[in-house]
Amino acid sequence: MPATLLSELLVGFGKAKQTDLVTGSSSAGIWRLGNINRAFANPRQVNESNAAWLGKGHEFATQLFKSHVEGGPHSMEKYTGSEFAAWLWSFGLGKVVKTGAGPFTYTCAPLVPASDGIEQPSFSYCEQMRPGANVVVDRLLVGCVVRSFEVNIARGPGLANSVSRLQFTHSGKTTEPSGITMPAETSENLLNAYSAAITILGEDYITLKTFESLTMGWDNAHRDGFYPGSGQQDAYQIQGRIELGDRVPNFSFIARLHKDSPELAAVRALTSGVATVALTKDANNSMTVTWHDMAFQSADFQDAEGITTVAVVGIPKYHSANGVVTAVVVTPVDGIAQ
Amino acid sequence: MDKATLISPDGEIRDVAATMEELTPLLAAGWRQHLPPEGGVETEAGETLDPEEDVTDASDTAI
Repeated sequence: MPATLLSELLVGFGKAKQTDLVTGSSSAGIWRLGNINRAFANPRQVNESNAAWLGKGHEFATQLFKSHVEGGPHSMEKYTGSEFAAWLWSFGLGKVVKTGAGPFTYTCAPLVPASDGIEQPSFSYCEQMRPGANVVVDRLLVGCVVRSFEVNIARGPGLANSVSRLQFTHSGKTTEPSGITMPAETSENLLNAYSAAITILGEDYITLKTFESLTMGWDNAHRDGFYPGSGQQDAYQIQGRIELGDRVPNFSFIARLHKDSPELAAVRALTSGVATVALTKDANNSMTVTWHDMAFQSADFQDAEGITTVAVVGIPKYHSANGVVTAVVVTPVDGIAQ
Repeated sequence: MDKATLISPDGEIRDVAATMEELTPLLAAGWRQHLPPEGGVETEAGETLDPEEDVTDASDTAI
């Protein structure tokens, strides 16, 4: 009985940004990193029927019409490494400054719509299973843009204590077969939670040994990109632009409660300040995320296996000079989002 | 100290230290990294000229 194991799935995606939304990356622009995501990025073609049309004498479909390609969102999930962190914050926020000659430093910031526009850089996403004569899957999703992402740091041992997840929007354009020669897997430098340095509103949680978990991220809330003239592939409409909506940063964490815990007082006093989260493997591999004016929406006391904790939902505010967030990632890999 | 070349929304070009403290307010103000195309020539005014392009000013050769 024929079968294809999911473990055969090869996923590569654009290390380099596409020149525009409709021009896919070549093999040279694709890289392959360790993959723990079990979901396919299915470019779903949608048909419409005439079921609701009048005059047929019944409510059932007799005819189908090609409509559009759903833009996802599709997902990716990875253990957080310096290589992927540089990619994630660059493509996720939209603006990056690359410096250095190896290791490379990527300083990432959100787009400023008035000057940068409202379109993030796009990338290609390739899935392959037995490409070639015995192909099962071989497709390149052209025009993908990071819709939302989060970085999760959690208590516990193992790689799973530092995970990054993202969702991306796809224009709908697909090249099949992909034409991509999948590269060897890039060796990654994982940023495990053991290295975390976390200071929020002046509280150094790592020194206090009180930190439990944290989730931080960003939602670009893309606008629908189907418009008159947006284009088609095989008579299915595709999106001709993928633009920012009303962006939403997110930041929440859980820490142990103690007599001097400042979180609830900060909620009541509307206190705000800098929050810095860093993961470091070594001098060549690190991620430092600075939220320039963090305030707390709520602080709830909870139980964590018998230990009392405080769960905080943050509201990253806009700092008049520095904006909302800056992520600085150091990694040995050149050319990310370039 | 690494340097980064940034360009403002108005076209001003500036070399700054590649530190978060230096870059952050500029990025938040709409500046972005300025990367001349490979092989291109950047003028003092910050314009990038194609190396294949004839850049001779017509006024220089006018009789």
